[in-house]
Amino acid sequence: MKQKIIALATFLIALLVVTGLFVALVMGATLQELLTPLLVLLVGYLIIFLRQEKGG
Amino acid sequence: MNFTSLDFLLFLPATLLLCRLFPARFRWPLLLAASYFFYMRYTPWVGLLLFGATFVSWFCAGKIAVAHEGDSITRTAKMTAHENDATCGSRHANMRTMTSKHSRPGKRFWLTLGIATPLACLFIFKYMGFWGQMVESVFGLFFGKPMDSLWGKSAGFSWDILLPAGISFYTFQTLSYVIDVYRKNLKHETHFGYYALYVSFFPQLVAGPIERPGNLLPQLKRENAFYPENLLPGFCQMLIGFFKKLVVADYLARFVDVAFASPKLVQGPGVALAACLFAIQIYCDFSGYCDIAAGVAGMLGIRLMKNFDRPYSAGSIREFWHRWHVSLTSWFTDYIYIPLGGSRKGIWRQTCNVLIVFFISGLWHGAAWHYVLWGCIHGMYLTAGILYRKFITRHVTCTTAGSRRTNGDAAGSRQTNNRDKRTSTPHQDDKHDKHAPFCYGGNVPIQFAHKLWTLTLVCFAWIFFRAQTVSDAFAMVSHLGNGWNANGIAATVNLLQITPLDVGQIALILLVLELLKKFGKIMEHETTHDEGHGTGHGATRDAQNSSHQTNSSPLQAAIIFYLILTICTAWLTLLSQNAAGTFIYFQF
Repeated sequence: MKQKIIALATFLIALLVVTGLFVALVMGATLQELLTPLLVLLVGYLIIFLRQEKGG
Repeated sequence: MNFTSLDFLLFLPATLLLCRLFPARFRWPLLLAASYFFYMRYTPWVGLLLFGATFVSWFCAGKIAVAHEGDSITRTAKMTAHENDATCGSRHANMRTMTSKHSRPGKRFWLTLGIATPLACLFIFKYMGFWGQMVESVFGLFFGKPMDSLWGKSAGFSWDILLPAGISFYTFQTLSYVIDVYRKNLKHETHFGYYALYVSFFPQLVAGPIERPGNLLPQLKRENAFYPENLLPGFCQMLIGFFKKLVVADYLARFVDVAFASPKLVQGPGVALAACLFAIQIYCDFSGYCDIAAGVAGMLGIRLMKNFDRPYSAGSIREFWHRWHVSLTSWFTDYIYIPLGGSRKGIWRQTCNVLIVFFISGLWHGAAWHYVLWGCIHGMYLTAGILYRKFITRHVTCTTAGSRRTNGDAAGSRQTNNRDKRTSTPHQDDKHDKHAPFCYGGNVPIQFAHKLWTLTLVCFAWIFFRAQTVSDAFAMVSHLGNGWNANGIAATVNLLQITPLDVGQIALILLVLELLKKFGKIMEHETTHDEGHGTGHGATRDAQNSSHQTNSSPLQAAIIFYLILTICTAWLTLLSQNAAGTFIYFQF
């Protein structure tokens, strides 16, 4: 159940991110503006993953 | 072809698909054709050079192997006839000795040819311009005029010839093969196709790692090595490599390029920042390439050697070279340092050998004096370390090291006891001690200070590596002490155009890199796990599948997804800005 929730959350976030990226690219965003939110998300996911690996 | 080009996105799936569809016996011709296509995609004629170097080295190694066989037959005949010699007199024995004496130069001739031909190609394509300019400047110095008339050009000597990508890497691979066959460390590969694939195997062809034939050839010859289970771990490793290259290295290149393009304008904080950022850039660029190469090879069921092992966490320069570009360091150790005498002919000879090796290492990196200087700086660091250790062992009673050796290094000493002491190197003589600094205790603050000091020395040397010329490097170094105030920092921020968003971005990138190391280790563990099963020829396929299922999780999939997303974003943005750079080590 927990894994399904994570998968669903990932999908929703990914949808949001893809939409946001598309809009940003159309509006002429720079590399930093595009990458920073993605990197924040990536950090979060990596921390959760590594904690899970450590715990499991 | 470049790993970051659009072509590669089509090339890799096509190669994997063909390897999957065709029977295992077609694997080597497929991979060989793919490798030559990969190499000849933009400049077809370089394929001829690669083929020429491959064929000559293989042919010479074959002749050496034949000479070895002849020697062993002669030796056997000599031994069996030894008893008869006692009765027939020494006349026959003398004749046999003459025969063996005649076979020796033949072997050496093929060795010389096998070494000289690839080296001559390397010299012509890489060092001819450098050599010409040097000769010209020496001529001008002695005779008071340049050699313009001799070269037939008004602007001095020029050598406008394209440097074939990866020539330094595959030259070293062919040399190691010929030398290993000569030393009888390796049996000659009679199948030319496998040998040609060893030299030209596309993941490691252009920028290494410099694979040894003993590691790669048996893997290339192994049948049924392609397992779909290897795809995911290999893909993850590729993603980490792409992240390092496209998200980190190419992003940092923006600041580094500005700083090194204006060596006379940049002040102390700018020089320090540029050196630190370049240290991260070159690490991410080269180790990113190696990760992609290892990932692609892993997908094909081949395990390449590890080229990087957290180099910036080294506690000494010697340890740094254990961790940085490991394949090149071990190549220089085995084929130059040890034949020169290594550490077995006294300390002064050892320091000379170290300096020679690092001089060549600098020259290998590029045909320019600033690379040579970079190599010499590292050579001097290591020399100072050797002399310091000698001084310490003579004059200081090192109780902490002694106690550590009795405890922690017992396992390491067991491993190294078997090695021939005569072949020890400044990198290898206490390899088991590489994670523990020499003689300065084991407490964390001191170890941290040593790591910081090592990092500072390495970053300082990177200035010489990255600068356009030696004079630029010295200009930057001379500015290193200036501008350490608010105005200097403001000038640096203005020059490099650093915004608060960039600061946050760089901090985030460093954090992600640190976290990715652990993610990479987990994926690497999975690769070895899968490979271990893969070599079992399907006998434990069920166990493999079950392990695969337990390791994969939605969260892992999410991380992979976000990695892809960040990479694609960076890649598309860099492509749209036409700023996606090639790998730094492609030029070597």
